[in-house]
Amino acid sequence: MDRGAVKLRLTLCTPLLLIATRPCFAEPAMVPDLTARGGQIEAQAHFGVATAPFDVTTLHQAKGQAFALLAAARYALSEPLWLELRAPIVLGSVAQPAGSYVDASALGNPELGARYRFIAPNSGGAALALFGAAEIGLPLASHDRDLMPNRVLAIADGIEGRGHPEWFTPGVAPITASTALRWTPAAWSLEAELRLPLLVRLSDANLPSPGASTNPVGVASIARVEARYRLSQRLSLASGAQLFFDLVPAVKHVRPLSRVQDFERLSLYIHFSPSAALVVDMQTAIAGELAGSTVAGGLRATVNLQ
Amino acid sequence: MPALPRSGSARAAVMLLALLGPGCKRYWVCDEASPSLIAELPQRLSETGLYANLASGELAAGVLAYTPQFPLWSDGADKQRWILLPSGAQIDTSNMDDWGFPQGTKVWKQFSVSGVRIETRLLEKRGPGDADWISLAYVWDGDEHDAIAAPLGAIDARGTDHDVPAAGECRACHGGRRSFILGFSALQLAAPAPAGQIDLDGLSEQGWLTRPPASKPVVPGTAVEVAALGYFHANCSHCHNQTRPEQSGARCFDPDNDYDFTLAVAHLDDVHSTPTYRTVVGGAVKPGDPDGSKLYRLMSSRGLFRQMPPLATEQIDSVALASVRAWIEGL
Repeated sequence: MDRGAVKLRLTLCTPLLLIATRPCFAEPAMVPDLTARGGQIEAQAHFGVATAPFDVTTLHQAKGQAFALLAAARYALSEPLWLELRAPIVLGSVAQPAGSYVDASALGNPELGARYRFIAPNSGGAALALFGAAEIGLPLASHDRDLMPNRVLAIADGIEGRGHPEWFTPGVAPITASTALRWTPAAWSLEAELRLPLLVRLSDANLPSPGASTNPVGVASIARVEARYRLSQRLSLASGAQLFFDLVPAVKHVRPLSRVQDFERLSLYIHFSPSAALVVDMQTAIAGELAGSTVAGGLRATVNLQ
Repeated sequence: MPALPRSGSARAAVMLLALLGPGCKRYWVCDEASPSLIAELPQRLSETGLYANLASGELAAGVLAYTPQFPLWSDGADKQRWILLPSGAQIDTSNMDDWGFPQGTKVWKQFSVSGVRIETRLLEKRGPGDADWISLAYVWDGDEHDAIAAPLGAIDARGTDHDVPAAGECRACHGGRRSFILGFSALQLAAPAPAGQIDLDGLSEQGWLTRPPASKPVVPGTAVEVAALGYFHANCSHCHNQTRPEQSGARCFDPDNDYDFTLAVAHLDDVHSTPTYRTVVGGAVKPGDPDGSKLYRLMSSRGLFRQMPPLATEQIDSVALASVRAWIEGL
């Protein structure tokens, strides 16, 4: 290896190693861990292919490949209360009806919110924690008259199993409430989360055709569970499932469309140090609109700052 | 594309990024059509100049119907084609394989499935340059009173399996030839036209050609060879040819030009002088072995990145496949 490459690697890796070796517990779990005392940054990159619903009279699906990128930062205001900022971005390649592709990118709706951790006393050595969160989003998800960014967002929504409509629905201001439970008996960890995004319609200027119309407020519900087992000091294996319920569609459907979507995820957690961890995800749907056409994988990384 | 790193994880990362990275020049990516240009075209087919009376089907003055002798496979759809040249204008036929059309030329192609009109596509030359074409499909409304512009295209239009291309997709095929128009050429119009349509002789008589050909081009070979070569010319040569015009932007179905399936007028002395025999036989075609021929395998398959043609078809052309099989077996 030439000296330039070595210097580049050292330049890139040294800050990460310094951060990673700070003594603080990092956990890029399904529900963010809130045990650090300073801040926390999280990055997520999922790449996938999807054929997702797209409610336009002439185009009832959005098909393609995309990177769904998420940057998140959290800051502990006090020990149990955290502020959080999340910003999704999508880079994609969208299939056209005849079979060619168009590259496009889009902003998702960034969110600002607060998270609270209620810590219950240990029960026989098993830690139990309850979380609550409320977030409000800025309606920045892209609009364009040719709808290409909207199709990229639909694909990203697909590769996340339709589990984050608050990020990928254009023309709305999302308000999301969520609660979660984490139970950690010994090497096992079990998590359950329920989220309720309200998608307040601000604009329907991007709606494409006379056949498409909106509801003033879209309501979805997402339930997620994950079981994780610590294989060693460095590795954990997790399996999770997600169910999306489209209670009140943000855009009224122009064709019969399933309102329920499952999504399954298999994850390998790699704990580099007490303050840095990486998760390798594989995720897909086995039923619903996304079954058979949607598969994604990627990385999540969390670093605690102190 | 640069060499991939040897390390397994780095190699996987580079391949993943290459799927979306601009440096890879992925052949299946096309640029979007300019929305401002598309907006200049009429929103209804009835306003494009094709019909004098759409309800009765009466064509506008000067519009001529034509049928190429080797049609593009469109999953069995029935197609009708029309062309309109500006009054007094001529087609530059100095290159008999790549005619140059005058500014203002309009070409329409209508697709019907089981007697139902699905869409009518318009190609219009808006400027003097070879690349100054603009394209748009119009999808027929439910009662077929008119067709409405569909710049995004349509999936399973009008309840059929037929997909309508987005405006930017037309360039994927048509952009492969300088003429832009694929089925209106000396070779494609050399056969006698059906009643009421124009052919090469008719064009010469009407004075549409700057240099009428001295004789009509004739595809050489037996019936089996003519069927195969004609199919390749109509379905493959707009991408796979060695005389593609330069283009900027996304690669848009510009393959490596190792193969050339063109039936070039200057190379019709015998089958062995055709580009197909010179560039494809012995490569993608193994003489006597259709099942071992890459060309035949891709023709007999459908699916993302493993079918030929790669665009605008979801069904195998079984008649053409039989012709090509017979041709390869006879080589």
